[in-house]
Formats: sequence, C-alpha cells, structure tokens
Amino acid sequence: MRIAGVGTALPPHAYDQAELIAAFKRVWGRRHHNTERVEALHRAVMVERRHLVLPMEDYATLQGMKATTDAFIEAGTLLAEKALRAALDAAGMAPREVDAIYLTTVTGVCSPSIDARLVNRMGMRADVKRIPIFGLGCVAGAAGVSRLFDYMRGWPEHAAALICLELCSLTLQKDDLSVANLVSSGLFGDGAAAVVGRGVRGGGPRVVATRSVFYPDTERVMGWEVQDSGFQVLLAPTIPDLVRANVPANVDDFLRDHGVKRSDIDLWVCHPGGPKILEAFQEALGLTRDDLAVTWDCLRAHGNLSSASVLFVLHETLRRKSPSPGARGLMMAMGPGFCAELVLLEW
Amino acid sequence: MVTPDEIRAALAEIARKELRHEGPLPDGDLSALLDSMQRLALLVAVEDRFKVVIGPEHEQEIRTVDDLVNVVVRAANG
Repeated sequence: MRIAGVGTALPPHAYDQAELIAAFKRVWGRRHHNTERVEALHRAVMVERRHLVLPMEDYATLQGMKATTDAFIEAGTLLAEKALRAALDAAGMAPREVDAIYLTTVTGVCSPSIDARLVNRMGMRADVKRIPIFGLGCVAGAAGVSRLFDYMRGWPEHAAALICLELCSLTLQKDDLSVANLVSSGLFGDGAAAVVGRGVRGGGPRVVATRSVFYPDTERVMGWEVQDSGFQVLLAPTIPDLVRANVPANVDDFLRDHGVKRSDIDLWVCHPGGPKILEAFQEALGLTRDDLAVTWDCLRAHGNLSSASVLFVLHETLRRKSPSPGARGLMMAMGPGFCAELVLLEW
Repeated sequence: MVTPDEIRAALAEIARKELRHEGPLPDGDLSALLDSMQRLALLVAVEDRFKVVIGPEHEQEIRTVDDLVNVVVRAANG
C-alpha cells in the first residue's frame, strides 16, 4: 500500500495555553485551592496552543452525554469531512473513488457513525465499505494505517481512506480533580486527520509492514471510566516506564523481521503522547530530540490530538522533509490496552 | 489536628492511586524515585487531599517522605 495523500483539519477556535490556563483557574479555583499547581501541571506538558471545537465560553454550560454527543456529531462531521477532503485532494482523488473508509475516534459515540454521515455529505458510492473503530485511543492513528494496509492486501486495486477524528475537549470532566484529569485538560486538543491508501496505483511512501504489540494485564494504564457525566480519563504515570521496558525490543524485533536496523530509520513519525513519554522514547531508542523534532513541534502547536496526532506528524514530515527515494520511516503510537503499533514506511 | 500517621496513611493511598506505587512508602530521596511530573502530581494530590498550599519555600525542604509529612503537618495544623 502507498500513502497517496494525508490531510489534516483543525477547528476554528484557537487559544494559547496561557488563555486556557486562565480559564481553567477560574473554573477550578472554586474547587482546587491551589490553582498555581494546576498552572504548573499545564505548563509542564509543553503545549503552547490548542484548537477547540467550541468557543471557550461554551464549555461552561456544556454538560452531560447528550449535549456533548450532539456537539460531537455536528462539529465532528464537518471536521472529519475537511480532513478527508484534504487527503483526497492530496491524492488527486474524488470521494466516489474511495472503496472503503475507516473512522477512528475515542472521544464520541454515535450510530450511525460519523463515516455514514460522510458518505451522505460527500456523495460517496453506495457500495463503500465502512469500518468505524472506537476505543483504540492514541494508538488508533498508527493502528488505522495498519488496518488500511491489511485491507489493501486483500483489495490491491482499491482505494481506502482512514479518518481519525478526536474532539478531546468535549470529554472534559469539570468536577474531576484527579491528577490524570488535570494533566489531560492541559494536554489534549481537538483535530482530525485522514490518510488515503492505494494498492497498485499512486505515489507516496509505501507501507512495508506493520506490527501490533499488546502488553498483557495493563488495562488500567490508560482509557475511560464511563460516568453518567461522560468519559472520565484514566492515565497512569507509568507509561514512560512501559516505553523504556518494552519499546526497544518491540522496535528491534519488528525491524529485524524485515531486514532493517534501528540505525536504518531516517524518519521517526512518533505520536506526541506528552513530554515524559517522548523523553522515554528518546532515551529508550537512543534518539535525539532532533530525531523527534516534528513530533515535539506538533505537541507544542496542537497538544495531543489522540489518534489524529500521529497523522499530523506524518503530514508535517511529508511537508518538511521531502525524503529521498529509499528513505525509511517508522511510525509509532501507543494507546489503551495498553498496546503499541509500529508501521514501517519506505519512500 | 492531622497527625503524621494519618498523613502517612493518606500518602500511601495517594502514591498507590496517582503514582501506581504499591507497598510501603520509600525511605530514600524522592528526587531519585520521581521525575518532575510525578513529583508535581504528588504535590497536587497532597494539596487537594489536605486542603493545604505548599509554597515554593516549603517545597524546597521536601527531599524524603518524612520531609513531606512534616511540611503537610505544619501546613494543615497552621
């Protein structure tokens, strides 16, 4: 499979982290008596700016699953469409040429899923195959590319699209003062990204192989605890330890199976999970901060966009780097399970 | 009046919940055990649990769990 096009879309409401911190201090000042500490947490995640799907003032009254789901469907459909259209434009394709669409999200639930709404809005064919995926979280950008790759092996003449839509701001639990929620509220942003894959036709980097890695008995590391008020975040501080303990062997085993060494990788397309996770990746894999520069920049510019983030990094890598033929890249992400996904790319 | 034992018990619970640390609280230097984010997380949870503010001048005193207990005792009991 070749990645024929990548597109990204951000919602219109953009805020500097300082503006968001000031708003959070107003909200949590009534509950948490040391809001300076909230500010310290939000500065520690090294995000400078985030886009939100709603104007900031609207979140004060947004409450409950119905209101957030309505907002998710309305704004999410528009954002997903924008990302998919951008990816199709990059691939030089029309919506009717798409044979299958995968849509990943972990920030909203609806049926029919957003991909069905895209079929109607974008005039896709009636025989388009739809595969909505919920629950993979941050790993879903890389895992979605892997599933696209699997599909294209069966249907090499087809074109398939992956859309990652995440409106993390709609999941904010205003009454949850856990450290996980305080960190998440400073780290995650809203955005959508899409990839168009083609089998036998088209240019762009080739997906050589993929690898899923599941870490047994780590269900409590990351995920949601579903409450009446919505999705309450579960985020363990042990993720950097998991990275250090597992990722080097995972990467080396995967690459070895395909005759590649770590030193052969020219481009690292890494999900921007957060500063401590990126530092753990660097330390564990012997990478420099410069090796992950695009990832760090995406974290600073948009925050963590869950599944969409790694596709933002891929998009920016394609834009900035112009890799020469034969260059190799490794896309990596981790998410609830706990698990990792590795995708070997070649230009 | 909060006692040191009550604080130690609460710290063990916080360490379990927020840092996934099982077992007795460690004796050693916290800087060798926690990264900056984990230390920050610990302080956020402690302040929230005991409704205290640990200012920068007191934060500097905290090298071990015992130091943290002492700082919280002073802050909580005025």
